[in-house]
Amino acid sequence: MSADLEHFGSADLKRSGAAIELRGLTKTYGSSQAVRGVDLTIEPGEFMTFLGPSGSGKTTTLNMIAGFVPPTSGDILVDDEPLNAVPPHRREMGMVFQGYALFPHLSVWDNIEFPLRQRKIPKAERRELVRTAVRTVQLEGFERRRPAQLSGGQQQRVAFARAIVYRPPVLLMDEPLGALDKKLREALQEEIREIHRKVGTTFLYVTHDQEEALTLSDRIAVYDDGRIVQVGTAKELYERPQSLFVAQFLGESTLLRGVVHPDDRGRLHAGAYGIPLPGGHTVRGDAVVVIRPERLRLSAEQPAPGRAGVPVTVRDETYLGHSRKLTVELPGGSTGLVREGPGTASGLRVGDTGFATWDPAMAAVVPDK
Amino acid sequence: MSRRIPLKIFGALVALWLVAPTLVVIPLSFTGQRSLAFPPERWSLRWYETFFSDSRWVADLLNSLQIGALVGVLATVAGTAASYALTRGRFRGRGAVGALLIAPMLVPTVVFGVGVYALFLQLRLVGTFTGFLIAHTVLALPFVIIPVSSVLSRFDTTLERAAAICGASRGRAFFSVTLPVIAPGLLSGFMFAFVTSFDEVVVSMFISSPYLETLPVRMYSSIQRDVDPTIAAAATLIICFTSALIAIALLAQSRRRRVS
Repeated sequence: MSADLEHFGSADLKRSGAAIELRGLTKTYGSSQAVRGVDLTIEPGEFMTFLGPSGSGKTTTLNMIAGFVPPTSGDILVDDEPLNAVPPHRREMGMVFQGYALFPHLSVWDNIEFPLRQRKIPKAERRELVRTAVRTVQLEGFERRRPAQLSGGQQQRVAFARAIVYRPPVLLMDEPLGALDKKLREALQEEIREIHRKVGTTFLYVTHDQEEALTLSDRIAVYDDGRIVQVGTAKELYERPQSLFVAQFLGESTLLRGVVHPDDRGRLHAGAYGIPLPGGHTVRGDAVVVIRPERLRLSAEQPAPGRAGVPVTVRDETYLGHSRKLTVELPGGSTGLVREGPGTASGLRVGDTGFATWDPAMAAVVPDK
Repeated sequence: MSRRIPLKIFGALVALWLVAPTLVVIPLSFTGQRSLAFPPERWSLRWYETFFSDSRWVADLLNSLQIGALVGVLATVAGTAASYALTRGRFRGRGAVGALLIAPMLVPTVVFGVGVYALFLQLRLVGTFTGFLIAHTVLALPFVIIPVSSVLSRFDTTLERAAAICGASRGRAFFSVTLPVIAPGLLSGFMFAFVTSFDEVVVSMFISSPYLETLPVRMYSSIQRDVDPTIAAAATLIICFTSALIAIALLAQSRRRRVS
């Protein structure tokens, strides 16, 4: 898609993204609550991803923003204008649907031109805009084809071109890459990021794929059971999860369960061990220390002063080329994960015992649910 | 593969059994005799000549074509609107309304004819063009509602959402996206509606008058008066015409299926 992005970047065509604010957004179907009071501010031009398991309310939120689903209560504001009474066709948003939703009776060209026709844009300008969009998604030569004559990846590009052709200030995407194979997905992720950088549109992206969310987004809102449980950058969510759900949903980790006593907040009491905690946390009672695999080091000796550590037995080893991943047995019988790079290789083998150590400041502590 | 051959033979026999009585009419229409004896001993086109030179036969053919075409349009428009309401609407009594609209197909035609006759006498619609349109449209509605409801219920409503977010109002989305996608269903609905009206005889007998009758009515009364092979010529024309229509509809549908 990169070949022709300067067309989208040029100042006269560029329309900057809109700010979106969700206030107490709620959707109830009968007795079940799909979305329970979502509050969120999205900056103009931001790439925001709604991440969560299926049924967690992320798509319902997106459909309320698009205007397909009326909120039970709460407000949606775009550039401080409430949208509640505005029907979808007046919301000036672009959307890429999960199954692409291309019009089967129209050619690629007519599909992409559709939004321009609805806006009564003059013919010459329409042709120019469609041509630019076709070039942007690299579908030259396919203009006369019907959607059914295209591959999944090509259909996805048509859907994308149709959504951006009129340069909406907000682009909504509902699992747009879900139906594609991994390699194509990664290539298109790169292109989506590139387009986002150039057009300045606010992107709202729904996915259940944590890797996709980490790769694409400026910020991620993690959904669980109709609520946003944490909002932050990929780094914040990965390194400072505020709940066990977020820690487990994003990436792998080693979990150490125990209790934080109110009069000894610096330690997690886990059986016979007192595990030092990062400073500044507010967790009390049943708690879990979360350590990412690359933050753990294995060694045959006791941890150095200032490092935390527990005795472990190496149970399994996976060689990954540039690194190796080790599964270790922790004191309580549960398992932990260690990733060793070239500089941190310990030389421990399967069956060996030693210590897993880490810098307490690089671990997170969250309440045990 | 070989196990399917007996099945094919059986299918062909059933098909033949179904259409054979109809096909007998075709050679009969080319007879040179004055009776409907089968097989004909001499061949001639004289009964076609009789048909087309008799102004009453031609007038009734034109009546049937006009009424059939208008009924096709009326039933397709009303039936599509009804199907849309029945598949998308969420209102009380939806099932009852659906059953009511399908009822003309289930109620015995004679019963329906008596009812329509009594009603039309009061409304002074007997023997009128409007009367034929109304009665035939009601009869044809189920034949539109069934295929159109079926394509509508398979229609992916995300397409309408896509049209909406692209800037199309509900009406525009319907006409520019929904309607073209369900067009094959509409086409077969139209064909069925046309044919329903074109060969309807029972209700038409009730509501026709000496001044306005349709081709099937004329055929029916002519065969009661005199056994004249003109009726075979008329029947052959009807068979060719309706077969052509249905062939066109099927062709259009299979082409569409290949494209999409």
